[in-house]
Amino acid sequence: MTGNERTTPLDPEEQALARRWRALPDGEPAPALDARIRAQAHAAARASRPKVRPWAWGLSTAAAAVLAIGMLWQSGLPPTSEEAMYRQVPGPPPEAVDALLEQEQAATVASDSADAAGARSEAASGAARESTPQAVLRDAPQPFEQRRESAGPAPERAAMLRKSLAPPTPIHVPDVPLTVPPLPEAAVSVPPAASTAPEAPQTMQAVPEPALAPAPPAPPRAIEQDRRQDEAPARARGPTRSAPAQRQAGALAEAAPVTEPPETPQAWIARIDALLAQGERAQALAELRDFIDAYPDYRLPRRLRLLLDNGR
Amino acid sequence: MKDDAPDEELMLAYGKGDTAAFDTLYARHRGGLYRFLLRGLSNRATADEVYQEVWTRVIGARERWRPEAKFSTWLYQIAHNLQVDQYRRKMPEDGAADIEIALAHNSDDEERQPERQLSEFEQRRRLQLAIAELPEEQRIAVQLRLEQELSLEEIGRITGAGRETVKSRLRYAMDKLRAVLTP
Repeated sequence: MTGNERTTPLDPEEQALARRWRALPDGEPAPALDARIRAQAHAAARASRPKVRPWAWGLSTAAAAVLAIGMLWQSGLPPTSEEAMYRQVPGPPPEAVDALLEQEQAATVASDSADAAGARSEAASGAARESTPQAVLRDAPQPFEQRRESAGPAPERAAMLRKSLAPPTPIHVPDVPLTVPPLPEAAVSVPPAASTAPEAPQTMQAVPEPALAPAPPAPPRAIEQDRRQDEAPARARGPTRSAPAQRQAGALAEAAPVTEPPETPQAWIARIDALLAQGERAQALAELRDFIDAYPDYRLPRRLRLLLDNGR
Repeated sequence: MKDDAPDEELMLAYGKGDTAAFDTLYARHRGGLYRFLLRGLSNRATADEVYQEVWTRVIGARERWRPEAKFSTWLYQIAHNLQVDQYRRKMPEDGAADIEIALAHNSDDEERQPERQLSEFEQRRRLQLAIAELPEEQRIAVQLRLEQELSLEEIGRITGAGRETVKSRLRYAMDKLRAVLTP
């Protein structure tokens, strides 16, 4: 399509009229106007042209190399101490566990017989502690030293020891005991983010949610602040899911990126009207200028033309 | 970029920063666009202002422009909308004085042939007045047809009217011009 192809031939009468028409004076803009427009066009092109920086290539190459090396190094590292505990230390044979337990029980019996009355009273007070809500706290995750001090009687300790020496088992969320202490909401609760988060596929919804203890009635201010900070990314992420489900969700999100449909001129105009209605005149004017850049051939409503005229 | 490259290629090239492409495009359309505006607005200062505004919008849209329609159709659509806006702001000013002065200095050839000069002068003046007296829609349609040789469909696209409406407007306009120019 060249400049000539856009014409449609005139009939002879039209040709005669067109000849006279073209002979009318004032056929061209003034050279100064031409120069002004061309300068404007050239300046705009220069402004939008990306600047070529000779050092940028080297810098980006170096950055990419550092990133690649870092990733390789990370993938070659041994697992973290926690992972190593689970992965590298094999569980002791059951006989060894039993022998260890017997040893510990013998020591406990000896100390109990030495102070039987004290033990009885301690057992009674222990039972009393069991009946109070504070007893629940004992099973809560605590620092190691605290856990040692607050360890229960021998059978319980045996169970704990057996548990700690046993090979790691996969964590089943539904098995979380109901005696979990009422931790601050920040630690356990998931904010309802369904409205902001993308809807999870059906397979993800099949993963049961953990049974959570109710939140404390009035969390301290600091905890509340932490909770708010934690909630922000949580809202963005959506409901907590198991790791595979999260990975699956991530993969799905990458596979199907959410592309926002382009705003129609009518919708944009409506948005500008809304801004005007809210009294945001400056913002409406800025939006209107962007709109004109995007749709220069769109015929503006009278109210917006007036806004534009007054804004100049 | 060749000088005979299509408008659309030139505009896309300019969108990518090729200023020579803009110069070619500008040279191709400056006269026609300016005449379209000047004869519609009948005032040089207003025409200059609107002319610059049209090109400012073209420049502003350079990176987003996609050849969904002919460049010329888009260009004249912008010009037409601005012209209509201008009409609505204030009625077209009487630019007869500008035109008369220009006509008086039009051609040396006319000075050598006084009778012919009178005849040509009279004919052009009549045409100018007849155009100015046309209703806005008819004037724009006949301008786009005679000046740009655009098809009925293209004129319809620019003015937002249907093909048959444009055809009708052109017919009425041509009848009036014919009546004025026929002795």
